[in-house]
Amino acid sequence: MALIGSIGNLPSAFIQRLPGAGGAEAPTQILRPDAPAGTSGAAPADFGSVFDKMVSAVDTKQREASDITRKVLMGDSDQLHQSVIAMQEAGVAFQLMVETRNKVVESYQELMRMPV
Amino acid sequence: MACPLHYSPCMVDPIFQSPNYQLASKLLDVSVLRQEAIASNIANSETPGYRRIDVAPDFATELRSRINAGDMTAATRLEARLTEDSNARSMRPDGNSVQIDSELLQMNRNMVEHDFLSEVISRNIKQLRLAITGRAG
Repeated sequence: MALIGSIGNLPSAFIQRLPGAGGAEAPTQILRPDAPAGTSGAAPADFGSVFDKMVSAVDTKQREASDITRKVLMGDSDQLHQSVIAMQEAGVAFQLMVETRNKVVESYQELMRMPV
Repeated sequence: MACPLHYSPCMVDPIFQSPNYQLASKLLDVSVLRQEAIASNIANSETPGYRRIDVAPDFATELRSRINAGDMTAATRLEARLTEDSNARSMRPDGNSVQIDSELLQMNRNMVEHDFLSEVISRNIKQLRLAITGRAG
């Protein structure tokens, strides 16, 4: 149980934080920037803060990984596998962040190229 | 540290200043050195009077104290060297202090350490490359 529970908690945490994941009106909000604010009650979190959270989560993961690796390198711990797993996790989290950024920039450029 | 803009190494050097990266590359040097010592021990396992050699034990304590003092550059400047292992006792009449099974065990252990350290280094470099280029591969 504990083993299975620990798998994949990273992506789901990110997905739950995304606006619109729970069927909210986020896409229409973005498509209609002139809509008066606060029409849909609680405003969904803007993408900036979502990405901000993602960056700090990735940063935490990186720090954790480097702490564990440091302990192993200094000989305080002999849990090599923990260090390797932490490094891999931090790497994947970082890659997810970079890829998200790439997609966002890509979609922005796509929009800018659109003939009006 | 003064860092004039026209001095280009100032832009490049800090990329590789992560303590873990520097520590791992230093320990990789030591791992290679230890591999040489073990190879020499195995090669001389039948040489009469040969005393087994190993990395000097003061290296680890010195490195640890320099790192705990927070001086990473001093820590990376530290050089490991090989000395005669004074703890090894000779079990044989010819005075040779090499025990082949313990050497093989040490070699395996050293290999695992070497693999782990190379993993740390390559992961660091991959991450940096991903951060710079913004794409995997």
